[in-house]
Amino acid sequence: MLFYSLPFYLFLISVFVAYYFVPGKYRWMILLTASVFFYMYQVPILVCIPGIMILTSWICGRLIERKLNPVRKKILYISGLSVNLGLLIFYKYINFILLSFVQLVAVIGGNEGFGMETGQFSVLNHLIVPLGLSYITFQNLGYLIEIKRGEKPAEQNLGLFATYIMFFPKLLAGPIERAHHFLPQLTANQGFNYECAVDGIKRFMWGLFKKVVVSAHLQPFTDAVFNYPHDQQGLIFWLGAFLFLVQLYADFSGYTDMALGLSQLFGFRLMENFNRPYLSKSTTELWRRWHISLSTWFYEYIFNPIAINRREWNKWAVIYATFITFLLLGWWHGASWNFIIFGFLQALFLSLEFISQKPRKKIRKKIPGNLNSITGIAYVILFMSFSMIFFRANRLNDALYIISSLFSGVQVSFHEMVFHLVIPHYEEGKSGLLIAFAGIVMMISGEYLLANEKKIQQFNKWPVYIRWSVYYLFLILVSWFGDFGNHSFIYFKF
Amino acid sequence: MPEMERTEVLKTIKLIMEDVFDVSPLVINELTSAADIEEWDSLNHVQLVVTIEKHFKIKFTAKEIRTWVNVGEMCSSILNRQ
Repeated sequence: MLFYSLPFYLFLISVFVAYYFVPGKYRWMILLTASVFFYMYQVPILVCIPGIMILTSWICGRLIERKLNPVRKKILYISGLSVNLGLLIFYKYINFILLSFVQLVAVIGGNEGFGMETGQFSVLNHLIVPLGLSYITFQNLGYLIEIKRGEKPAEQNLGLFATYIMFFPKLLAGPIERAHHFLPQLTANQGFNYECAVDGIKRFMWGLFKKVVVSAHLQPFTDAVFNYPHDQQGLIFWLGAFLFLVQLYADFSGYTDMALGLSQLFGFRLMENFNRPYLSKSTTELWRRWHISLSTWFYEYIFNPIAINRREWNKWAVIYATFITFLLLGWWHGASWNFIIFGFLQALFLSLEFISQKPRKKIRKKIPGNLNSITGIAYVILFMSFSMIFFRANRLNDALYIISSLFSGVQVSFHEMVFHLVIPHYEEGKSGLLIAFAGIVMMISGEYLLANEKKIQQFNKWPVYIRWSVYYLFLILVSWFGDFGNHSFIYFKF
Repeated sequence: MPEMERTEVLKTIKLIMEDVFDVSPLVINELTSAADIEEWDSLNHVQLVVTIEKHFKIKFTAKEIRTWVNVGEMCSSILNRQ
């Protein structure tokens, strides 16, 4: 059920009415029932998978908290982690692991590879990965780690815990909420808050705009570039990679805005996931502003324990932890070498920035402030666009072909490339790109204004009829120019 | 805890931070946290911990490091070791 489909709006209205109709202490039951229904909408049987994970984590969490014997505590902890990780690996990575193993055997022992080929994993190839599996897993893992550390209490009520994991606005692509942030809100017994709900609707609309106007209109172009790489040349790849970066941001931050807006309708404040990452002047800063709930999860549970345990290695501890963290983070995105290389590139640049920070700072002091910012932003955009080649290419071979062709075809004019090489594969033609570019300008200007508290206050002082005219005009623009086709959110598949 | 001793520790942390973060002069107090200093990111945090441990010849536990929320809590951990 997409957030902008008719069945979803009918579902949302029903849940909203039921939620505020029942007494406060039973509201979580409405949310849990609605979330389970939401999950079961397409393939009902798959709800068993999050069900097993939730039950295991809840039982292990309670027992870990009770047991005083450290060995038993550890066994329960490892069991909880294993069930969650085991299911994630089975559904998401088993095919990749087996294929990589067979290919490795084939390379070492000739071309036989136990006589197995890709097709022999056809059963595994047709496994349907339960939706939101990695987000569910990460929330369960974080919950168990915090209890094992003795830093947070286990939830006593299975229903409340299940609602925390399954809460439908964040179920399919996060944000990866922490239990200690979400659960107190669930039991706070909050009534309807008009301001909060209206802000939520506005935020939902802003996210919808990013998805249906910017992302949806860029998608045919980036699909044309990355699905038919052998028909394209040099500059088109640069443009395609850059536009995919913009598309990814519009798509994922758009989804997040919608998820946070929907949560506000029920009185919940979820973690922010983005903080205008396009203003980052280094990749280190970028990872503080991009997919924040994931990067902080990896920082708290992977990077920090490794770096702190190995801190006698000094700077090498940081570099070692960075590589492990980002290789895992890359792999989290999907079972392919493309994502592992994507993670490796991030780790490489983060490490280079880390060891060169002092000399770079000396150089920066000699350069005027604005120029510093512009070069920093340009560097991050260039690097991330390059990384996107691995992120978006369908196969590793495609990514390598694109990189080897980045400087090809320079004798062909840019105009000719766009209109003769890409457009034949591009269903929407020129108008789609024009709408997308206008949308990008509007998105960046809008986010600049939204981040400026003073400007927001000034706007809120305008007469109510003008403000609501602006909202309705925006709604008309979104309806008029939006592409409401069946474009799933990119991060749903992760 | 004697007030002077705590002030001394805070002053030493300030000097270490100036060196690790390459920012001088740095204005800090007990409530200063990573959110207040641009250079205090997750990568430099490890460097900061290592330098403090070396300077004071102490070893923090992983739990201590994890639970610090500001400079004041770092000071308390150092003073508890001395």
